[in-house]
Amino acid sequence: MKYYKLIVAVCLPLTVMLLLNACRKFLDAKPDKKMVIPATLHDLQAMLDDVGAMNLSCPIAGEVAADNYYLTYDAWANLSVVTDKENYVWASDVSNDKDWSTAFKVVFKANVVLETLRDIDPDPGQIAVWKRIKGSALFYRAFAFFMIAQEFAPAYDPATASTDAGIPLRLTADINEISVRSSVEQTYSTIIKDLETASQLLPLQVEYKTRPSRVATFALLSRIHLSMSDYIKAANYADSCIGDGAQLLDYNRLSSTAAEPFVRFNPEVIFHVSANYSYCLDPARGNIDSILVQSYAAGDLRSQLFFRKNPNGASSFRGNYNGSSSSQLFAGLAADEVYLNLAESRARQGNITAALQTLNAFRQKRYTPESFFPVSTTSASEALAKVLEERRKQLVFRAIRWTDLRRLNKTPGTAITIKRRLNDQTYILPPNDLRYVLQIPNSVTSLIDIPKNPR
Amino acid sequence: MQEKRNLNLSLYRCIILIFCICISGLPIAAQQANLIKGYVMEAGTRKPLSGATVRYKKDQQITHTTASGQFLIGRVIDDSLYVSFVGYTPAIISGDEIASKTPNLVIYLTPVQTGLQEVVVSTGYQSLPKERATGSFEKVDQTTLSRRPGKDLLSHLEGTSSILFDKRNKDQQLLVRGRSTLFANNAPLLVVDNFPFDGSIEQINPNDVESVTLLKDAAAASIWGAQAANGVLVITTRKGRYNQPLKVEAATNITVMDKPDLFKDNATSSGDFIDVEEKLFKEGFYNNDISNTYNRPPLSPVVEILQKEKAGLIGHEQAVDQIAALRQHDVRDDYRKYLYRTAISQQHSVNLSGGAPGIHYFFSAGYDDQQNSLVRNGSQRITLRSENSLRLTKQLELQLGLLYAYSKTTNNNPGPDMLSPGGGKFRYYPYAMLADHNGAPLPLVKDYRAAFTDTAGAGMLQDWKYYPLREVGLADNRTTMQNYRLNLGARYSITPALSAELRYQYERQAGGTWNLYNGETYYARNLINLYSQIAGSGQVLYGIPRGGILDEGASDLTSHSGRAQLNYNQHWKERHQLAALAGLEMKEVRTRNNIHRTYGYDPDLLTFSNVNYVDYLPTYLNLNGSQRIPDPLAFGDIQLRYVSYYANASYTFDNRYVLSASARKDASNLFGVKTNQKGVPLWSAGLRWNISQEKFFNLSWLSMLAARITYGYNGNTSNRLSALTIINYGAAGSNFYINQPFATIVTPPNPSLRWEKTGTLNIGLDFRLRGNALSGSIDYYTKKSTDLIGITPLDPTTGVVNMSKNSAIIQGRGIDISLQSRIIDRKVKLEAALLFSYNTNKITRYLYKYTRASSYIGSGINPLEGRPTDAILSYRWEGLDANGNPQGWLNGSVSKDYYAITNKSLLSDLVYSGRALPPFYGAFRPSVSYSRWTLSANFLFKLGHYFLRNSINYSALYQNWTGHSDFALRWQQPGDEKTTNVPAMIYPADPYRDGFYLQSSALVEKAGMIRWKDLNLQYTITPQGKHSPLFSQLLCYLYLENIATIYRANKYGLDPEYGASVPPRSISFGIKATF
Repeated sequence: MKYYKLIVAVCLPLTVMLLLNACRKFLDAKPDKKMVIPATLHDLQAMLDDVGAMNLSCPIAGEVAADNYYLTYDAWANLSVVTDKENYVWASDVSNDKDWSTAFKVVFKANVVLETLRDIDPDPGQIAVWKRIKGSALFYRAFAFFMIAQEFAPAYDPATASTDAGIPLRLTADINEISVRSSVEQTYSTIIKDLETASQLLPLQVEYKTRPSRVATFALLSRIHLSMSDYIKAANYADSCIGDGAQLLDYNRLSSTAAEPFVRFNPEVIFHVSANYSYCLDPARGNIDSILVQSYAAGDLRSQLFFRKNPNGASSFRGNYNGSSSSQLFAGLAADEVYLNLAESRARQGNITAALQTLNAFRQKRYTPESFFPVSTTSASEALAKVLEERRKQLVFRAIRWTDLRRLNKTPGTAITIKRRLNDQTYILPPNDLRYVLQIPNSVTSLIDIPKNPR
Repeated sequence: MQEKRNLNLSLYRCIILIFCICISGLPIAAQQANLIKGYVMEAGTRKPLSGATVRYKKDQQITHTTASGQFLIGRVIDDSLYVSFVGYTPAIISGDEIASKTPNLVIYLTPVQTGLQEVVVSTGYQSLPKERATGSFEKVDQTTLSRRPGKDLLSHLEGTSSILFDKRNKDQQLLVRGRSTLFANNAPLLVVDNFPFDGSIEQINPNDVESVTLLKDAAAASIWGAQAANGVLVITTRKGRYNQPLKVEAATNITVMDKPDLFKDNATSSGDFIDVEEKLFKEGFYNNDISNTYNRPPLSPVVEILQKEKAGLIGHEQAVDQIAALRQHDVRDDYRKYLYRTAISQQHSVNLSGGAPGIHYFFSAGYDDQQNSLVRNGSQRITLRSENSLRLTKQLELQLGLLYAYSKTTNNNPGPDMLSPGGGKFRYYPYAMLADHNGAPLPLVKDYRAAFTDTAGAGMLQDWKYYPLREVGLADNRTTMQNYRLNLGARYSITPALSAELRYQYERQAGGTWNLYNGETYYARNLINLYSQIAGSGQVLYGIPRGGILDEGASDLTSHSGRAQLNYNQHWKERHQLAALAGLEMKEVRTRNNIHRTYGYDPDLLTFSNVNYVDYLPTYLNLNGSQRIPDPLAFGDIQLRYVSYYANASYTFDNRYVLSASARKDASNLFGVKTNQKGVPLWSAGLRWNISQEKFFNLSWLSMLAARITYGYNGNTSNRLSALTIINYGAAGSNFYINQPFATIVTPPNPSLRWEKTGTLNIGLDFRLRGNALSGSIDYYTKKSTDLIGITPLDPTTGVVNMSKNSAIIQGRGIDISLQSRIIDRKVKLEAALLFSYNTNKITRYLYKYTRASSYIGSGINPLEGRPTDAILSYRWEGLDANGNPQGWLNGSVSKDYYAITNKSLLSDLVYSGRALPPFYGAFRPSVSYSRWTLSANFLFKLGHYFLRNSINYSALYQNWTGHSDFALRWQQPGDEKTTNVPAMIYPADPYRDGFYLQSSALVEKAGMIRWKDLNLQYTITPQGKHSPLFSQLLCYLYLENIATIYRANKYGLDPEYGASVPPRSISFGIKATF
């Protein structure tokens, strides 16, 4: 009996200890197999490959407010999304919450990737992947910052950039950090610095057009410098971009009778991004500005490939590089824009021959061989006018027009006044109007103390 | 016999060895000659009575019976034994009697009065007599449960317990003592026998249930720790008893239910709807859709006629005639005629139970068949159960339970609410026709306009029309569920006071879904057409092969639960009693599921085709751009693990004072948290004072009076906790454009999050009047739920739109009263039971305030400090102006700036009306019996709450075809504003104006009501004497349910609970026989 009690006395605590230890291990099992704490390069690449969040949510309000299209009164009056309705008539305090939050979500994901990356010490064989991921994250963040700046911060003006309010530059993933608006100068310099770093990390070409490449970095840097009216750098980056392989799509090879003349990831596309959906821009509603439609000369393939005549006589857009009837517009980087950036920058630098050479190389792919003639002029201003005309005709519904308008408005000769007519009422947006800078959304201003844009 | 004993002995040794690993102690087998050994049992049933007091009249010795009813007491010559037990008439056994009956002394106690047997409540860890419980328990016994036929166990608790059934949404919610959380799980924990139930409650046959115990306060429920904040429902299934003769019970019933009243939906009439369409057509509202050759959105038949007239295809008179014919039609007549039938359900069950001295058993089988009101929908269920206990030795008792349930549900008729026209329309126009005069199915507009589907594909594609009636016939959708449960238990008495218990439960629930859209169905035809291309040669290229589409899914839940528990039960020095238990519980629940699709499936040949899931394929006429072929393929694997340590003790002094305490710690395998943060400790304490046991108590009219007070904490687990960033992988096939896996961020790091907990103070009083004229209990409680997780919006610049934070405190209080009365107790018996509950709460702290006050309006939880969780707020209503425009209130004056009212109203501009859930609710259940007849009824009441009734929304009427009969009451001419609150129709519609009206105080109504829920007429035959027929009892009953709403606080005849889908009346007939 005594032995028995002794055995029990020894066994009991032992069993309890074993049991407790077992319990601890028992509780270490993962509840959901699909859930992971990001720690490997594979995890980070998967986070960046979340195409829905990273590539398909580019801000769109600028395009909605731009002058590529018009709505009939019936279509406008019955829009169910108030933001769309208000953006169309440039209501002064439209709250574009979705554009803001989807773009900053890209920033957040990129920041989580960058911070996790710091803790990963890659094997020698993995260094290229590590660099690619870091470059990609910097690129995504810069692209998002730039698109936010186009809507919510004033256009870059070297004279006032250091005092103009830019966007909050969130450079860490810490959600407890308070958002503070930087200056426009800081905004652009951060974007450019990140992209320059990215260009050294990224491979020249990548497997999927949803992933950033060095070519894409050059295309984006060219777009950014053009928007800053820094034509030397815009030209240099455009030149590098073309030299590194950006190629034009020959529209002569496309079928104008095909239901979908442009396919997603066509050879001209460098980096695929599409914009948030807008009811206004849906081909079922948005009618292309009739003057724009009529501006295409005979033999210009785009008048067939870009537009479709509706039964009511108006034209709608089908030149979407995201596939013609996709409800989300292509807002990424493509070679056509790079060619036009290069031609314009050279024309503005006075390099007429080079400008025309680029312009004609581009035009050749847009006109039928019979109707194509090379543009020739000796006047720099005429060359620039020709380039801008071509730019207007090519970059329709690409989320670029708003940026262009803000830039062109700075020069009296190219400034544009936009008008909208709804029944008897006319709405006007004069050049350089304060409403060219959209208001900081309510969802932000209601939670944090952040300066609003002047009205 | 000897052999059997040897076998028992060796088994016993084996088991002892196993037990030795974790328990200590020795069986005491001593028997002394100067001791009397005896048993106390219930008279008649011979059920051993545990805890009965045995003492001498003169001598000071006192003892209590053990679980098997046994007692040992020193022999005293010439003294008589006094044996007492709560709820039983005490027995006095004289010395002579003792001597004559020894050594087989069995003392039988008779229950004080039938129906007053000792109430034993079960917590899932222990059973204890209610007289010794400090906590607030509520027990619903089998008699009460079986008043109502029906296969769903939980609905039997409506009107028989203090649970509030919140039926405002399709999925009813059960609330025990109100809400103790904002956004976390709100449902009470379900425990079947000993373990939380993981499967579907549908698998439990109510005929197998012995009782349901509701654990309401901290002391009762805290043994369930972190899962108990919403209360616990302990379901105890029926079992046999030792020494019980074989008993067989068979029951059958049939229920017939009317077709529902579809005209309660307050839809716009066909005439009004057509008037609106004609007006909108003139305004040009449809121009955009008519000229839309991208998506070809659906247009109603009236618009198509008007367009034909406009295009000159038909003449004006022809158009008028065609429209006039539609005006006469109401689709609800068609729905009623073609989609509904009289529902019939049947229930059959049989069980047998019995027991010998060392064994008891229970077997049951049940079959349920239900034909729903919706044609071609129904379900069948088979349940088989066995429950056996075996007492191998005096110390060791083994228990084995097995359950098998199989159910099959067919869901082929979506019903009118789910018939969707697609293309952004929510419901069909009121003049839709399902069939022609001969009953032949007619097509309805779906997804695309008729003018397109009439000719699409020029005969080369499949028919693109949608015939809802034909679809009901073609559908083949079913769900099957198989549930297996194995229960093993062993209980070993180490000493008479100390016992050890091991329990294990294995549960598996395998579910399967089968949805076959054969080639004739619209679903298949539409997808096939959509992915078809007509080549120049006229050949059709199919992206999706012709034939059927099969979606098959499987889910598999397995759970293992294990428990090791020590029980200690000791009486000493005549007045002290200690009951304690402590244990460890471990549990794993793993749910795996998958779903996959097969295209071109032929159920006869089992052939199928491969499709291209990878590429984006063009759609017909580019209707949807280029798309991937839909592929619902998915896999899931969730594994939850829990470890809990618990202890519970109650000390009783002299049957007068009971002190209880419990503690528990739960831990689970939460992800992204360190182990030491995975658990939460919780405790409770309680005191009970049996006043009527006091010497000074001498109120002859009050036979029992007890007071209880408890305090403690229960928790509510949350899986939102995470200290680290968690990402969730998505399959490559569901990524956009590229065939690569992707990951989304589930939760940003949130290291400071804690589990929610609720502290409850409960004060209760139990009483019984002499002669049982009135008995009952009253409980008052206050609850404080802290650390409640609120969803806090974050500055979207962070990249995270909202986040969970411990941000709220709710304080609740209430009263539960339960009264039973025997008003007349003669030949005619009149009895009544009343359940009355009051519950209210207030959010005393909430970290976040919405920026727009209007966000506080609307159903759902919109936490506002100082208000209840279910506050109803609305815009202040200032009537209609002279033009029929609604007027609101902004900045201290009347306003018609609806945009500003929506965005800039302050809280002070809103009206607070009251709560959406009833503060007062309960049931009243009278019953009259005479001879073999018993008639009983149940009345339910819910009072003191409010609801926002629905009305016309012009934006929705124009855009989505969702109308409301208030349209007919709208402002139409000056002066109408004096008699109506329904705004004038305007074009274009203003969503802000509609939104303001629909959320204004003009539509807030009192929601109180009293329902006559049911009526039950029973006839019982209990044959007496030796020449009894085959059966020992035969019971026939007639049961009517959903009889009437006898009081409504609102004057519109609206049902605030069910809205349009008021359950129709039903009648059941059933027989129950006991052999």
